[in-house]
Amino acid sequence: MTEEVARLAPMPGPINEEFYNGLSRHELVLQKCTDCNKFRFWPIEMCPFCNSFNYEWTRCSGKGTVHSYTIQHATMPYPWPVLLVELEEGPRLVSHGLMAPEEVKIGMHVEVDYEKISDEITLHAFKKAGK
Amino acid sequence: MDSLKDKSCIVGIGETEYSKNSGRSEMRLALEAIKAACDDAGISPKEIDGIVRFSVDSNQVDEIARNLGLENLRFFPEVFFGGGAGCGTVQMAAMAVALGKAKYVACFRSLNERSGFRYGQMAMAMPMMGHFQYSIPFGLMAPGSMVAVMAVRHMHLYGTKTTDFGEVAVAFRKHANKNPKAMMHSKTLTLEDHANARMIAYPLRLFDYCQESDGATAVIVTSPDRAKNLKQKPVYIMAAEQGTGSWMEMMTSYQRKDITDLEEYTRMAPHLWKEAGIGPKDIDCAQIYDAFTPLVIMQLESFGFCKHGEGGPFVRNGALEIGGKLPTNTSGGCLSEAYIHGMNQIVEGVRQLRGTSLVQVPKCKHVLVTSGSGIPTSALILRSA
Ligand SMILES: [Zn+2]
Repeated sequence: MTEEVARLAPMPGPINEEFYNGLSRHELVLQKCTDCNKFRFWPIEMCPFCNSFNYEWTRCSGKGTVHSYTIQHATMPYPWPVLLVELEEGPRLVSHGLMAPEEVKIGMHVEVDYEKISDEITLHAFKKAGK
Repeated sequence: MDSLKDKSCIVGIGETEYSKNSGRSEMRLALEAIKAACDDAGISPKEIDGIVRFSVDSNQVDEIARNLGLENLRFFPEVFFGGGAGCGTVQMAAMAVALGKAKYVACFRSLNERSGFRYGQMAMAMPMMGHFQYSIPFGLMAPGSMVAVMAVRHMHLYGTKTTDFGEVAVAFRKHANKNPKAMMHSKTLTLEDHANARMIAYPLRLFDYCQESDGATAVIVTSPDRAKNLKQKPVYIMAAEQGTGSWMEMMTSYQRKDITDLEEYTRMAPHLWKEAGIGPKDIDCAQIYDAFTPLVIMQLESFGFCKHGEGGPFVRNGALEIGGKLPTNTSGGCLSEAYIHGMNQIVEGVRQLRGTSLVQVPKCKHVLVTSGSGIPTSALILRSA
């Protein structure tokens, strides 16, 4: 299949434009509470751990493990791995898995990569972690 | 008043036919179902003074009231979150009746889900704002795919098998085969058919997915006193609850400590059992919201029919079939009867307690009904008169 993948593009707003700006620079940045130091995802106004409004967009290591996954066999050019990645910093991200579907395993180590899906939007994706 | 127990009852049920193309408006379907429920109860539609709608329903209460000719509608809340709303609409009605805020409350859901807006194709229809922008653009294109992520983890942690999902689908299909109203009435299903069906989102195959349906369903709630003079044996509302959980978001509550725990039920269940004064062992028949098969297995765990992680073994060997240890979705459920956001399962629960189901559980006294999973939800415990 050589068909172009039509990826649906998110529409950034005030609460999450820093997240998407980071991805465009090839940096995974999440909100980190400056009072209790916990990361959270997805972008929201208040820290759900300590109810502080104070946070900084903070770069993550980009390393994590596969917490769960599915392999899409419809809609996307398939088979298409979708990972639920648990980041070292705690939050979990749904992302595109850049590996063969049969390689995907719960617990496997992965690291962030980036996919430009339109002129404005770059998304994260995850590949097998390097040695 | 410290409890809702037995302060209200369901006295009327109404349904349209269930199909892939109703050929008429959602308003028309809603009115047909409400009128049928009033006829069933033996009241005039003009006696309705409360209506509870799903907030996702296209029909507004003022227009329904104009059609019915209601001049004094006193109570008209709505319940949010799609399929999570069903039992919640009955909870609203029960509270209003118990407090004297309304005498006869109609709860309904009407949708042309197959011929109109299809939830399974939501990705294409939605602007990527809100929380779905963090899942859909990565390939998690539909609710089934979102549930697949939870199912894979459940399989990994507990050894749940895809044949367990098959057991669920086959049990409900057998019931549907005895229910002429069911969309899958004439189509049989075996475990082999299930295993060989088209893969959609690993580990889910075609028959792990619910129907897409056009139709409407309504129930009438009133007080036990008024019920005495009506046509049907009343079905008492023993308990009614809404529930959420930690990191709650529509379909993708993936920040939870354990994504295989449907906390929206796990945290609700103790309140439900306490209000009803009974436990899982007392349930004769269950109507469990079954948009996707793994969610039935996880709900059995949440409501305490088995321990967490043991839902797979629980459903084996026909446990959910009539004659099994927990006859479930006796009209076919969302998987094989119709997808009316679970309102049809409330109606089947009522039939079981009246003794009029086509797949009747002998001496059925207590029924558990649940609403949608992975979203803020609700549940009921009903009993016979
Ligand atoms: Zn904090």
